[in-house]
Amino acid sequence: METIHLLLQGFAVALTPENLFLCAIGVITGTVVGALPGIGSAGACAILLPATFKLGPVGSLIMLAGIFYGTQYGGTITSVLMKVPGESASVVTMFDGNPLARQGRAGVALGLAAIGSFAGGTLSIIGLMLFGPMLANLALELGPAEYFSLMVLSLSLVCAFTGKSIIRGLIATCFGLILALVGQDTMTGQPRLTFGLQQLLDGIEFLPVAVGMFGLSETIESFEQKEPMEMIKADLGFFKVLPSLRDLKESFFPMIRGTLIGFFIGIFPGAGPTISSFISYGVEQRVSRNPEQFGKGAVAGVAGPETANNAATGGAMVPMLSLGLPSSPSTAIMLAALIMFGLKPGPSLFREAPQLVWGLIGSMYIGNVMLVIINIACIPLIVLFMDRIKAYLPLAILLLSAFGVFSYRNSVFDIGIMLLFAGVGYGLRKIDFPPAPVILGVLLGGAAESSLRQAMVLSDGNPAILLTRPISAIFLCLTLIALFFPMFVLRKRPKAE
Amino acid sequence: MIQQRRIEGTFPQLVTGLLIWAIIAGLVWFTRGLPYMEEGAPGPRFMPIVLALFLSVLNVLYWLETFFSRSEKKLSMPRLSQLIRPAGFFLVGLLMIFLWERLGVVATVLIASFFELKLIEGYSWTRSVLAGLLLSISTWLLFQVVLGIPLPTGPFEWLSFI
Repeated sequence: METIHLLLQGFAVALTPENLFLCAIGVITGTVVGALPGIGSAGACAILLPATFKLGPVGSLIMLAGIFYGTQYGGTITSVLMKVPGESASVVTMFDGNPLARQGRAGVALGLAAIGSFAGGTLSIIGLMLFGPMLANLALELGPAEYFSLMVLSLSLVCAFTGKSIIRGLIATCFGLILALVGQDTMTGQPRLTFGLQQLLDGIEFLPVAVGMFGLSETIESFEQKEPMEMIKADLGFFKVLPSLRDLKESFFPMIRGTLIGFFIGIFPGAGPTISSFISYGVEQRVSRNPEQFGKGAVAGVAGPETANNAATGGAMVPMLSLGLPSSPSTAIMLAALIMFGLKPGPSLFREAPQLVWGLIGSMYIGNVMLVIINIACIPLIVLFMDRIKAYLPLAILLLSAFGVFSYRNSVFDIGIMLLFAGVGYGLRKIDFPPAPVILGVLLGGAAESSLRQAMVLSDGNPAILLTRPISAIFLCLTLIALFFPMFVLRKRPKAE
Repeated sequence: MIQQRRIEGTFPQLVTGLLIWAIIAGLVWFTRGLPYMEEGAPGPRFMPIVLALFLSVLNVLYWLETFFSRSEKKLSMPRLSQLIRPAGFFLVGLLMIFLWERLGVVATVLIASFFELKLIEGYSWTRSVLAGLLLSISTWLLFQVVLGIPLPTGPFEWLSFI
């Protein structure tokens, strides 16, 4: 009953004209960004984060969240029509979505994807409502040692699920943690690794690093492609994208399975929408009566993964809001937004800022309704818009990034940092190091160090406290399992492409 | 399909490993004046040393994985000709930093946009200039006027009266 009451209050916050407008801006931006290859949701969130400073914490989070789950809808468009995934979570949609388009059923593929995304996104919010407060209450039992171990577990899960090599993921994480060391030591105030530069006394800001490594480096990499992308010409009028009853019947159980897979996978750091969509595709292929149809235009091959990738966005919000731990680069940026507004994400957020949390949850319901309407009714417009702006997209990203980063502290130095890390991010991609762990290391490094040092103060400098506290020991065991289990699994069977 | 030169051997990984060793050495060297422990509590040098040790182990494992793992694929590095446009884009960014406070944002965006559209994207003079003008004015309007963020104007101080 209390949950329903809080949800109604959340709707009251979300349904104000200002927040409705911001939600609409967020989901439309997310759809367009998701449809455009070259920039992902993390890049878009990072670039637009400075622009949300004037909106307040509620408005800012509503807009950024709209971008996050909106990109999962938009990424389908290029996957189906151009066989180019607009988002990494839409890679799987290509396998059956593009063949459907070549059979003259592009509208059905896009319509099913939109409906599946709506179902997954909406149902996962119910999961967020139920699990978020529960996890927040459990988190009150965590002390500094437990928090440190939990952060180690989160960062390790990101390494285990992201990129091709856990070792490279861990090195990238360490790199991010080293960047977090720069600046004044929080406990003693002594400058550390500042090299005498006044601008580094406050540390390396998260924002220019995130914008550079996600927004700009993806854009720089897109310059390597010279061939224009061919788009399938399809009739995408309103009635053409509505699936038939038969298609909906075939998609019903894949959508249910996709929701469950996506939500529970999405909770785990690093596992997000992309992994969820792949797992859903694998499951659908196994349970299907016609597995030979997969790869040739199977409806379940579109419905299941598209539902899963949107359900994962709801799951990803659970640890971000209740524990203060981001499970993806996009939620890391939302977490950074909360920190910039002086809010402490974690267990206290549900108590101290219920309007923000439930307003966000309410806006996610509304945002999903907006998205299904936009994606079914306005696909031709979106496709036309994409065609017109893609010529100016790299320049627009550069300008928005520079202005956005400058507006944070009115410092040209931050633009320089952004450009530096754009180069670093580009280089990391070339040598097969994942950039996501770097970002998470930068964001969590300060908190991880503080927690560890506080824990050791409590134990008079003895690091064994991390093993003697039961919950901390459990988290560290799970960390070892997360790091070593994939190695044993991969040895026994070849990795699926 | 883009032709990419596949490198022979594992030169990029070797260089990467050496860079990581340099980072580890730098981490230890540049924190040498800070205390490791202070009155039984970890000092500001504690975390750098922990990270240096951990990274050392990981770097050894990285090289072992690179040189001895059968599943490890060779990296495909882009050709130099494919790096021209990315490098050009990066230089436009550097140009923006150089001009930002000297000429103000309007002129900076106009110049940077022109260079990017004309030299990198290869559009016509007219299109590049017109798009540059549109972008410079619209970004200024959006950030200075709508969002109220004070932007450097350089020699174009008169724009602040609008």
